[in-house]
Amino acid sequence: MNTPQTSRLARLFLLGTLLLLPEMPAAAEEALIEVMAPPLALPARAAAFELTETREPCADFASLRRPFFGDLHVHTTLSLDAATQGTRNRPADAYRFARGEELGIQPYENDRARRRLRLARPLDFTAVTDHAELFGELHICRTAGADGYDAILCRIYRRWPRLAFFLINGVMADNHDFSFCGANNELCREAARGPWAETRAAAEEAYDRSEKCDFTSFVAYEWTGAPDTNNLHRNVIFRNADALTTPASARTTGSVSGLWRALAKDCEGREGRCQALVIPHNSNLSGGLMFAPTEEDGTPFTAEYARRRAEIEPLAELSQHKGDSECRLGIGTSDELCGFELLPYGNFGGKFASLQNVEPNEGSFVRNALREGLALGRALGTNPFQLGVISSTDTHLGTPGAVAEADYPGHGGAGAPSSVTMPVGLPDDIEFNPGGLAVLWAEENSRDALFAAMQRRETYSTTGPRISVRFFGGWNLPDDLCNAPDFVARGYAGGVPMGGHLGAAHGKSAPRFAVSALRDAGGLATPLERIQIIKGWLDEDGVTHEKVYEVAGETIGQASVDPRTCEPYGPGANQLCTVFVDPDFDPDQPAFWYARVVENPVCRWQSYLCLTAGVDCTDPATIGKGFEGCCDADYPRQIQERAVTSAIHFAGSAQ
Amino acid sequence: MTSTWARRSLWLSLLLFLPVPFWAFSVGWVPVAWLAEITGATLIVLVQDGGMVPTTLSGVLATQLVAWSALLFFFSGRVVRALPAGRRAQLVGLIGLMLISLGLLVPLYATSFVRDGSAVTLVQLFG
Repeated sequence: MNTPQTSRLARLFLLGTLLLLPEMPAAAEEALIEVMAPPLALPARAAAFELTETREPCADFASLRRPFFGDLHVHTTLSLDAATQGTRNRPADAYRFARGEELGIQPYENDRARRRLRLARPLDFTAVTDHAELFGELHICRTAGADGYDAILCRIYRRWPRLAFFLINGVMADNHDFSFCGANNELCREAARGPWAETRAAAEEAYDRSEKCDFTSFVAYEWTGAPDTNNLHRNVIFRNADALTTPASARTTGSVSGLWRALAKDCEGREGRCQALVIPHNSNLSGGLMFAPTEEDGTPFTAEYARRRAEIEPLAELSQHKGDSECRLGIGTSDELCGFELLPYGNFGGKFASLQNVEPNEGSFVRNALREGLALGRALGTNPFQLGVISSTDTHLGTPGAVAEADYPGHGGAGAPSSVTMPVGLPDDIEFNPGGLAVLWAEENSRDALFAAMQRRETYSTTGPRISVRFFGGWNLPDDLCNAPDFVARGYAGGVPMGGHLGAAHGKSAPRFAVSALRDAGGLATPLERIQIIKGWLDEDGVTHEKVYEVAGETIGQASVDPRTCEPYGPGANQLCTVFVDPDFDPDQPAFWYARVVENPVCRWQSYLCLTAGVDCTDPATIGKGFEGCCDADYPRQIQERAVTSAIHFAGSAQ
Repeated sequence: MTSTWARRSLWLSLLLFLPVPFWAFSVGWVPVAWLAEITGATLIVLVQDGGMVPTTLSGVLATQLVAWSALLFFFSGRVVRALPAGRRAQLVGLIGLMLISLGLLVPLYATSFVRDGSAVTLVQLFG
C-alpha cells in the first residue's frame, strides 16, 4: 500500500482531485499535498521514535507524518464468542483479509463458506485481539483426545454452541476455574499456549519487515473482565514481537490494575524490549464502571494510580460494532450529535435480561471521562483520563476493516447467530453497526512508528470513512494558516498536534486551533458537512462544563439521502479548514479541545438491505421475517459518519 | 387399554413430539423431551462448575420443564376422558402416530440453540 509507486499514484490522484475542487484555495491544495509528500531531507528514524526491533527501514518516511488506517480490535475462531457463532477464520486469515485478500465467512456447507468478503481498500495495520480468557478451554474442547475433551461443557460446546456461549461465559464471570481444567487450572493453562503461539506466529508472518512497509501487524489480545456483566474489556497491544509468554487474562489478574501490574512485571519489568499499551473499549456497556473515578472495588484513585493509568492507557476505543462511546444526549450534554449509534442498554446483561441492566451514566462515555479527568488532574496532580481516541470494528468474523454500511454482513459477537444457515433478514441485531477504524499519524508504517503514535495520542477515530484530519493547537498559530503551503510544518512548529498538551498560557491570550479535513474520496463516502470543536473545562468551583463550537461548514443541514434509493444528495465540501480562536478561554481553567468532522448523511446499514428486500413500513405485508428492524423507529435509517480527533489538553495556569 | 395406560401413552407422545414454547435467552418451540435433555446437561454443569448463569439457566429451564410436563399430563387426562372407551387405544395411537409423523416430516421446532433458530424437524433437533 505504501510503496513509492503507490504513493506517487496517491499523490497524483490527490492532485487530480484537488484540481477539480474550485472552492479550495490553491494554498490549501499544497498544504494537503504536503501531508502526503515525503520530506526533502529525511531525519534519522531514531530521532523520530524509539527503535525497538530489527527490521529494514521503510522506504517511505514522512517526517511530517501520514495517516495510517487500521483495525485494532479483531476476533477470530480462537475467541469463544466467535467460535460459537461458526467463525472458522483464524488469525492468519484475518491478516490476509486486512491486506486485501478475499475471505469466506459462515455459514459453511460441506466446509465451503457460503458468503465471501473482500475489503475495497486494504488496511495499513491490524491487531488480532482474541479473548485470552478461554484460549485453553476452547482448545481442549476442540482437540479430540485431549484431557477434558469429553467433559459435559465441551460436549455442550460441540452440540449446542450457543448454549455453551452462555454457560461458559457464565461460569467464567464468577471467576471459577472449569472442572475439566484439572487441579489449579493446569490443563487449560498448558493448552492456552497453543492459541497464543498461533496468534504471535500469525502476527509475525503478516508483518512486512521489508522496506516496502506494506502492512503492520501487532501481537495483541483482549483482556475480558466484566464484573456483573459491566464491561471493562481492554485490548493489550504489544510494541514488537517481544510479548508476554502467556497473556495476562482477567481470570489470572483479577482487576484492571492487576493487568497493569502483570504487564509491569512480566513485560516492561523483564529483560528484553517488551512494551505494551492497553486500550479500553465499550465503555458504553460498562454500567459506568469504565471511567468511574474509583477502582472497581470503590477505592478512590491515588496519584500513582492516575499516573500509571495515563501512561499505560493513552487511548480509548470510541466507536465499534457494539455502539458509540463518545457521548450520550442527556448525560451531561445537550450536544445534538450525541445520539449516534447508541445502545438501548448499559451493560452486557441488559441485552439479555432487563433486570441486569444498568443505565448508562457519566462513567460510560469518553467525553464525560475527559471532563472528569480535568477534576481528577486538579485533585491528584495527574489526569488519569487524558484519553486519545481510535475506533475499530470488534469483528467476530475475522474480517478487520469491514466497515462499509452497504452490504454489511454483520460482525457476529453478541449479534444474531449465523453459523450453519444463511441469516434470515437482517444479518445483525438492529442496534449494532459496522464499527470504525483507527487512524494513526506516523512517519512510516512500522510497529515502532505506529506504537509511538499511539503513545503520544496522535490518533483519531473514524466511523468508517477514511477522512483525513489534521488538528493543531498553539498560542501563535496564524489566522491564515489554512492558506499556507506549509500548513503542517507550521502546525508542528507553532503548536502541538492532536493528543498533545498546550504549554504555559501566553498571558491572557487564547489558544488557537487549526483543523483541516479532507473527505474520503473512495467508497460510498459523502462530502463533508462541518467541523466542530468540542471544548471541556473545569471552573474554579471544581465543576466541569462543555461547549460545542461550529467552526467550519457552510452547508449544514442542506444534504440528505433519498430513502427510495439510498442516494445521497445536496451540497457539501471536499475539504474544510479553519483556524479557531477560543472565545471563552480562561487561563486559570484546565481544558481540552477536540475536533469532530461530520460527513453528509448516508443510509445506515439496514436501509440498504431493507431497500433490496422491498420493505415498505406502511405496508406490513412487505416486512418479511427478520426484517422487522427496518421499521423500528428507535433506529435511524440514515446516519452521519464522522471523524473524532484526540483532544489537546491545557493544564491551566495554576498547575 | 385402561384409561391410565392411555393417559400415560398420550402424555409420552406429547412429551416427545409436541412443540411447546420455551424461553432461554430467546423464545423457541421444542418438545418437552428436548427441554429435559438440555436441562439435564445444564444441571450437570451447575453441579460440576457452579456459577450464577448455570444456576439461573437451570432454574429457568427446570421450571419450564416441570410446568409443561404437568400441564401436558393434565391435558392428556382430559383428552383421554373425552375419548370413547371402546376406541381409546386406537385414537391414542393415531394421535401419537400423527405427532411423530408431523415431527419427522415437518420442521415444527425452532430454538436458537439448534441451527441458528431456523425451523427444524425432530431428527434435526435431536441430531
